[in-house]
Amino acid sequence: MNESMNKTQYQKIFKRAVIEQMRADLRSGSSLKTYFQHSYPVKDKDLLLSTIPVQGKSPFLKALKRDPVATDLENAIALHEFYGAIDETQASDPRLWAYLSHVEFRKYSLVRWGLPGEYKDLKTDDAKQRAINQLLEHWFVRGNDRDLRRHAIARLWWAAHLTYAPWERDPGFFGDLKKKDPYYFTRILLSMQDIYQQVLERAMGRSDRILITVLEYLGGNKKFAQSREKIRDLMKELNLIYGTKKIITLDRVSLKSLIEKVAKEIDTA
Amino acid sequence: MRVNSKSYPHPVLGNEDDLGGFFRVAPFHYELKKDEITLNPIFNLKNAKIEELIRDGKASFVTEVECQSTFFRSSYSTRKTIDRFMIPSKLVRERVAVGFYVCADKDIPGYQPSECHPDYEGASFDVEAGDVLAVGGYTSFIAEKNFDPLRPPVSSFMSIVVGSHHEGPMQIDYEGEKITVILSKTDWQSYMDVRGQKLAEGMLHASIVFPVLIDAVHQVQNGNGDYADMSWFGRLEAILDGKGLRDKDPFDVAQKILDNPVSRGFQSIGSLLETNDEREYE
Repeated sequence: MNESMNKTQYQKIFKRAVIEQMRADLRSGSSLKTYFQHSYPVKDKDLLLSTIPVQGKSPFLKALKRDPVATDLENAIALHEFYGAIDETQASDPRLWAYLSHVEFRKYSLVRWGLPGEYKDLKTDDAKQRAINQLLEHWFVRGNDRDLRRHAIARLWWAAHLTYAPWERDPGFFGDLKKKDPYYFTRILLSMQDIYQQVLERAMGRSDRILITVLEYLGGNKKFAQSREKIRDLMKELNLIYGTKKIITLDRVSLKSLIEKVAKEIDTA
Repeated sequence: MRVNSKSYPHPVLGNEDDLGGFFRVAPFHYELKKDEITLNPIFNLKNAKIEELIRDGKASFVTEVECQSTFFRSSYSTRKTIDRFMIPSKLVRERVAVGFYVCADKDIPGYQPSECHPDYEGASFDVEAGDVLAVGGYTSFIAEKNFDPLRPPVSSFMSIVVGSHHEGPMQIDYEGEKITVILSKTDWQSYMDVRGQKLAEGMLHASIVFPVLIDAVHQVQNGNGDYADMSWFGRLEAILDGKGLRDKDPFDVAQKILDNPVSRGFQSIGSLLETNDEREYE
């Protein structure tokens, strides 16, 4: 085996000022054309070496043109396994994600979150503005978790990270949920685009206790989980309850039965 | 410390004038270390019934911590009036919001609050585990050791870049991690010629940073939801809280943050003219 394959290297990231310039160039439209190109010119002076260790070649992320959502789960697991050493602070750094979407996983980002057609198809100012907004949303992160949920690459890593083996992270609370598959809850979260959007789009999703307990319910109630409206209503109702009741303080049994009760009411309404 | 009023299904201490007494967290200290952040809240509670519930193990002081940058939301419960909680530093970044409550630990059927507003006199309520009984307000801090809201460098929330237009007015982008001022190529060249020179700093603050900051302060004070989860917004909010400027006029606030930019601008001009005069007589 080639020794260099196993040698620890460090992940490259963009410099902060470079990202600010990239955003300004995109907002003005001057770099819009480059988002149709398969390669992105990167100068060494624009990059920093982060403290994120990486070993070997980065994974190949699949994106099927006819059904790009279908590969979200396997891509999320592949990314999480490769970037397993990233901590939460590093994983919310805009410099990392901009580099990964623009350079490292550019091909995937173009297929999954790129612009359809060709640059010349963007004939009006409105069409250009819509294209710019879409790129700003999926290719850059501004320092909040809403962007992380929408960024082409960050969304996959975070989906896996937030749901990976919760019984290891908080054995006192999740001990009874232990499974052989550490990505058991990731599979539920990414089983449908609606689950991901509805559950993580709300502030509730920031609490791993609430997130995992909701996913536990959805995993055990497939019919409920197939209804976008029901998931949305469940999260809306929990959000409403949270305003006057800090359900984050509940023990596991109480939280579980509260979620079951609310879901049952929605199911029978 | 801010408190927002809400509509609860039962009277809540700290929510408008529902109940007599008070619940405050003062002082609230936090300590940023390399590996962990320590929160040291001191809970000051005065309400006979809620104090009794805590003594009887039916309610607790709850500190809720949330970070919008890292999907972090957790709560820490205690029945001690002075306590400390540790958060691993790696779990949070940028603005960390902290809220203080007293919550029921178990169901309390027939809860009869003390020191009630006359509207609630004699009434009883079925309170459930998790229900909020008292609100002690909200605060936030920036989880970064070298960020001092009392002496904030402008570069911590604002940056200046070159735009694609050759000439024309500067533009502002509020939708990035920092507020980005975009200069025309011509102005950028002039900016590059003076950037970093102490003599020019006052002029740059007065002519570029000051007007942008007035508008940014206005956005923060109005709680503009479009920008509320941007890093610059959180930093500016921490600066306003740290300097006690949250409710002051944006025009005055921007001048305080920038330490009288107009005066410093005039000083810059004065110094530059003096320098030129000296050169003329050399």
